[in-house]
Amino acid sequence: MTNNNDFYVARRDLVPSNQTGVRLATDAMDALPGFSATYWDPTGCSDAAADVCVYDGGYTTPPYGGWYGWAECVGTISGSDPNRVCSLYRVDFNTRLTPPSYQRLACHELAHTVGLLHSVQFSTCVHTYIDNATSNNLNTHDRNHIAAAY
Amino acid sequence: MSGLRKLSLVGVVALGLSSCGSLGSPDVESAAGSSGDSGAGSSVERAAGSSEGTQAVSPQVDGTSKPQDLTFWDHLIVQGQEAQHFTSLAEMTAASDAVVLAVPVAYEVGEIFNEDGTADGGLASAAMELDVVEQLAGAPVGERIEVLFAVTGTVEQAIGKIETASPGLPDEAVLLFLISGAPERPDIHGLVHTSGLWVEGPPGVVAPLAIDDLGQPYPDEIEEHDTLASLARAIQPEP
Repeated sequence: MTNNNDFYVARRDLVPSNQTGVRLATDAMDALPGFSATYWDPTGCSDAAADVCVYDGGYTTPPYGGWYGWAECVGTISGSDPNRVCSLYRVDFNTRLTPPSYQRLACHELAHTVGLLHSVQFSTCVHTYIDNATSNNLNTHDRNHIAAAY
Repeated sequence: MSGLRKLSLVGVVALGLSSCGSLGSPDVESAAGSSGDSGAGSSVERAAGSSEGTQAVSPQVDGTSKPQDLTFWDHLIVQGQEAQHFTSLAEMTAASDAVVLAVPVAYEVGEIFNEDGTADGGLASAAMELDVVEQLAGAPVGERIEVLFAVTGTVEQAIGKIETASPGLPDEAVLLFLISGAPERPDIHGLVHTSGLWVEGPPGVVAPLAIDDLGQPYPDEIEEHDTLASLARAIQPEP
């Protein structure tokens, strides 16, 4: 999970669909009580305040061609599970695949960066498989988890 | 390992026993208790936890690099969303271009993918060279194959992970469900899914790259197999 509740989502030069997805997912997180989430409008990830940097690229072959997207800690790690903190995450999207919803995919990957694991509940974007989720947002259960963590 | 001949499954078992004493050792329940260095939150750690209270280790396995074999795979776990999911081993087999039992022989930094053109946006891969012991399904891949694995994070971090992990490359057989990069890159092979790599190690047959908080895939099918050889037999079509 990221190390503060002032959550900055920076990005590389994303394709429009991913820009929209990340913006909507970030705005939804900003609505969480006690949690501030900002979609960083200037393109670039160099600011030290960034908590997440989002990339996209076109991948058609193994080993990345089968992925909609993924998240990885690329910053400094401190603490230990379940309170392991990462100073910066990198999220990648594959522009060669069409997810069921760009917002749902962004919501799913950003949810991992704030400490959420996969859910068996269909009503949340962080459901195990986004194809099976019925919502593009986090459900109340997941929102409460974030509120408790931050 | 030039001149390697394809072996029967009997040969696979023999190969495993000669190299590490693991394949075909149904009495191996778990050596996880002797490891203790699995990555926090990893699938290896979770799988080890499930074997609590069954720490018996066969004399053949005790003292080998088995626990390190599972730890090796940790740096190749990707936390993400795959586009395809398979509900059974048979379904995954059908979606694969090839299914092979193979022994890793070399491991190094593979192709750097930088298709978005940004200097810091590239993605590294790990290239594993394997000697094919048995082709179980699909189109023939030859006696030696290179398989690319995703290593997420920055390219610099990924290279560091690969170089750190390289000395621990397992020398026991692994089971791989592969796809090629055809038609664009028929020379590239990778896993069809994160559930497409199976190893035998404590505790039993596991898919070490399966997304860590989802549990082991296909539990109803896998519980029937104590060894990788047994699982391979189930995948190989009847002659």
